[in-house]
Amino acid sequence: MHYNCFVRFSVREYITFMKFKSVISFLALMPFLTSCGDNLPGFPDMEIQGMRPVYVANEVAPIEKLESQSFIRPGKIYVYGKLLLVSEIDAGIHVFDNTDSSNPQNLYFINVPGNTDMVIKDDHIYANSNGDLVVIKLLEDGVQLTTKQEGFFLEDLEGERPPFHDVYFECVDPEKGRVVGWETTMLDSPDCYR
Amino acid sequence: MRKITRLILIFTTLWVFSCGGDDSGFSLGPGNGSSGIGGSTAKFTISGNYMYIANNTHLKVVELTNPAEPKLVHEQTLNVLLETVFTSDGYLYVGSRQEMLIFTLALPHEPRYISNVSHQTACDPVIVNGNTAYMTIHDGQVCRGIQVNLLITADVSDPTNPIQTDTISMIKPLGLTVYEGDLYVGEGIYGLKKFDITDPLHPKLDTFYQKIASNDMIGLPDRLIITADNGISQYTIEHDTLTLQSLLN
Repeated sequence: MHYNCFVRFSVREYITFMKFKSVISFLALMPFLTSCGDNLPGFPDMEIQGMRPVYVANEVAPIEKLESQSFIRPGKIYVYGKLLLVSEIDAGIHVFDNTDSSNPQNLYFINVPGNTDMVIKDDHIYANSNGDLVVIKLLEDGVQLTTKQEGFFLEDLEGERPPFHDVYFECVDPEKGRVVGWETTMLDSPDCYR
Repeated sequence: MRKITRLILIFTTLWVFSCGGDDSGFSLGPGNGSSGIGGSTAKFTISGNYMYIANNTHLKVVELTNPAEPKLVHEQTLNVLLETVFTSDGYLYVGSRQEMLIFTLALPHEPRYISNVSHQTACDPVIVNGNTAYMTIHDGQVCRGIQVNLLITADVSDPTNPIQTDTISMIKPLGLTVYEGDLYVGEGIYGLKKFDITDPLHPKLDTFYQKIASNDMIGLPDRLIITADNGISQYTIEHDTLTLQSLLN
């Protein structure tokens, strides 16, 4: 977990730190902090490629059947018998009756926040929803969320830092919500590295 | 009289069996515990009772014996970023940023790595048709790779020793599928390419449909479903002419 060594203390963090720790305990930690300094890649005050945490608020809209909707950002597709499913990137799943492929019927939309991928077996949809694995049962007249395995897709300490090495990243701020993934982007003077 | 009884019995049996599939009354899916079909860029796939998942550098296996209670039964960490999963004939083919990895599913709950086909750092889905693997690699912002856009063909008749047999330059290839015996490769906004795979190890460009934008696709027995930024379209083909059946947008 040596990535901690690479975290540069921001002024705000320093003040918070000092609020709770005495000067003496900080000084006691100094050798450990500086011993990692040799490997620091440097934190340039400029735009640089790195990773940014993707947050989700602790309160998100429930997984449920909604009225059919039109596409905004259609993603992956899945064919299950007469059904055609289309992921609406990061938002949910459009369900079509594709019995007549020249005239598919838009049946309904399943609200699945953060969805990108899905498969179906035995009338059960297995989908990702942010960092969770959810199971949604297809019923004759709708859907039913049967299972949610929270954090299934979050590896190791992904809630705290990116799942890759040798990257700059925007430090996690728990006040912004739960980290459910990381995206590659340009960062302005990032303060964290692993 | 006995003959008539027997006939009635036979017909009753036939009738019962013919209706067996519709017992649930809910028949939008294929029923009988089957799974569906995804596109080549899928990160999840189902084979038998197991779901295989490419998640960052982790390969996960989930058992679906109890459909409502998926159970994580296996997980392994690899040194590469995994992107797509595809199963064929007892093997799992994984597209990653640096290579296509092959795992044996001799123990379906515990994929074991056996071989790979390496390539330049780029994004890549892989599909397998018979004894041949087709994969595309493309560069781009997300992929962080060097400039490389290829369709790669590999002989996987011996999955422990895959042999690359062909590479073809592409514009920006994404998903791919086999439909009506031909290989289709999506070139994103640039169009759709159809390859003749009469010689499976050496695809030959047959037609470039420049007006059909395509990201990923699913080839079904009776039609081709294509995803693009502007929506989902379905085509049938007759004498080399793709006919649009419908466009969802």
